[in-house]
Amino acid sequence: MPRSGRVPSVVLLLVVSWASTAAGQGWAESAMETRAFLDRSGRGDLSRLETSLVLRARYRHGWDKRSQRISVEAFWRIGLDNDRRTHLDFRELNWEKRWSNFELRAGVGTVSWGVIESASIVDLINQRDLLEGLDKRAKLGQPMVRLSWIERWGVVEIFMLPWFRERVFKGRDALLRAGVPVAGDTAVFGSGAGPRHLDWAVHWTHAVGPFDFGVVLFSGTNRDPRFIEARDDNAQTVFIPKYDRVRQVGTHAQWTTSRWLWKLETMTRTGQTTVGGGVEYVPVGFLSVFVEYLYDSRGSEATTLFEDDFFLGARLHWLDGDAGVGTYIDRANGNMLFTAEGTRRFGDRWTVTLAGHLYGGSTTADPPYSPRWDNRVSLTVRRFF
Amino acid sequence: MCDRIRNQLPSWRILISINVVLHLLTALPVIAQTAEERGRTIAQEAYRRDSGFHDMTAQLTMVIHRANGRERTWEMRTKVLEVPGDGSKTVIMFDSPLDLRGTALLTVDHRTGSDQWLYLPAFRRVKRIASASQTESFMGSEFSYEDIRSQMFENYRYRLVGEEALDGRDAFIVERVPLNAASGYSRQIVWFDTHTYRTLRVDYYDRSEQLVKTLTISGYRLYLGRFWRPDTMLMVNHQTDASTMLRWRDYAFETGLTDRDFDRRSLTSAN
Repeated sequence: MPRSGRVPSVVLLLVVSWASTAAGQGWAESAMETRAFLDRSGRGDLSRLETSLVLRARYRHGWDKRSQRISVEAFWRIGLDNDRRTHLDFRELNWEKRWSNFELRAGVGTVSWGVIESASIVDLINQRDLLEGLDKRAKLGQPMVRLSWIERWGVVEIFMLPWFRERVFKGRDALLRAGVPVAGDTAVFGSGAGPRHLDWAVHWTHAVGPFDFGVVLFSGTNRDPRFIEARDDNAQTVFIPKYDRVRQVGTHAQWTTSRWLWKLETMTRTGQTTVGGGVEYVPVGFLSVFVEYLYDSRGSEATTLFEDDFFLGARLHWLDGDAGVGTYIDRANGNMLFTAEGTRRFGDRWTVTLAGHLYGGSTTADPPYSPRWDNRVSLTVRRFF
Repeated sequence: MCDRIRNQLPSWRILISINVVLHLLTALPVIAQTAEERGRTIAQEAYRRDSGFHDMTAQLTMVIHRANGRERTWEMRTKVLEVPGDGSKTVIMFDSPLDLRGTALLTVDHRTGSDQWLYLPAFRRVKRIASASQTESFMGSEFSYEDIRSQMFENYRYRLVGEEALDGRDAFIVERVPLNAASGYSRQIVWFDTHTYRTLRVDYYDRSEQLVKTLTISGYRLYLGRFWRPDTMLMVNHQTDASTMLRWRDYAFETGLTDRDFDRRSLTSAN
């Protein structure tokens, strides 16, 4: 899979031109994003100001009485002052066939599961796209064959995942709390087959009355690496990502009443249990208030900042935009992470988004393998086509 | 002669009595029918004529005029599946503004309430959402969810309050009182066309008995020889001077949609 800007951009241009002329349905979006970091990284090679362009193009074409379809979604970020965030990725590139109660999808796709606001715990099919930031839930397209079986008692999806995609450790968001660089291109695998190990997953989901729930079984390469301390060629200490083979069970559930939405996500794999749950309160239709708790049994070995944290958040919608704020508070050491994002629409084709996060607390108290969450603000102007 | 008359008398009497009985049979219900029963009969007939289409698709444009002069336009597509005896399933897909493209809302209306799922393309996730309260505005418009939801006949108490011509059309004026305490209205006054039972106008009274909104429905066309559907619905808010115009087009009925086109996973590929 392409993972850097060196891949001929011709592919994306072809998708865009094809999308605009072919009989199917094409969309496109462009954006310019500027990120400003409020503190120095401690490393001279990382700038405090970064500007990049984003192109996203989507094309869908259905035929055979809508029972067959191809979907293409290409995402391309181009760094203007450095190429650390430059990458091209196909979030979707697949063919789908629909029968009365079966569906088959083959190709590259993106799948998202989960119910809580503050984290993704049960989600596991796709690798995270770290170049897109820590607070965004961007993911790399995953090669897959998915068979879905739709019945009265729910939907069962069986995934075969023939190729594993490594996390890309580059730029600010690859920095870990321990301050040791991650040598992303020297990853080691728990399986002798490396990234070619055939992973599989089964997902059952159902809705009964006010309850929506699901169970996930997974056997394969852990998308979330551990870090092993090593020395690089210059005898400097580095972290090498290690992708273990794991078996894991995940669950998600939501109980929806007219004003209160109770949510729970759990995930258990060898040596780790992660739980997130809480409630969303909707006093009026345009406002949601969230209170959640996140737990990771790895404690100080966790690769997340949220190993024992409360989350308080709110989301607001109005005619021309929406905004959200959130605060993560570590139960044990009181460290806080404050996030905010607001988007305003201008006309039918433009939006402007202002986002940022601030970290406050004692850095030595956080898990050393957790991301650093450097303080930042970003401004994104989007134009849709 | 006299004999002949005498002989015919019984049959003549019988004829009269039959006639009287017949008259009584037909006239009695009319006399006995209360305003409530007549209102109910009219509403039921309007409801009966509106239903039975199995499924429907249409495109709509919603233009929101704010009192401060601001104007917003939303482009949507919708599909509806009737669920006989229970309610309906509705999917609304957003086409414009372009940042909302691909967003899809599934509403399953039951007799007792409704369930809603929302698909946001940016998250690639179908979320069960707190079902919008009836009084809440639909997408910032003057239509509340209660106004756009499929109107279940059983959800109101009816009374015929008069008949009058509205824009040259004879109309029944029926008052309907929502039975659900969560409704934002104390009552609604509905003008039904006396020939086709099309809804021509609705006046909405809030809980403090103030006239709050008026809905005017026009541009009716007949589809499949049975279903009257409008192309324009104008909702004017008398208290704020704001208004919302819904323009419908490309209606299609009995298009062969099934439950599969209205399940949660269908939202992800609705566009």
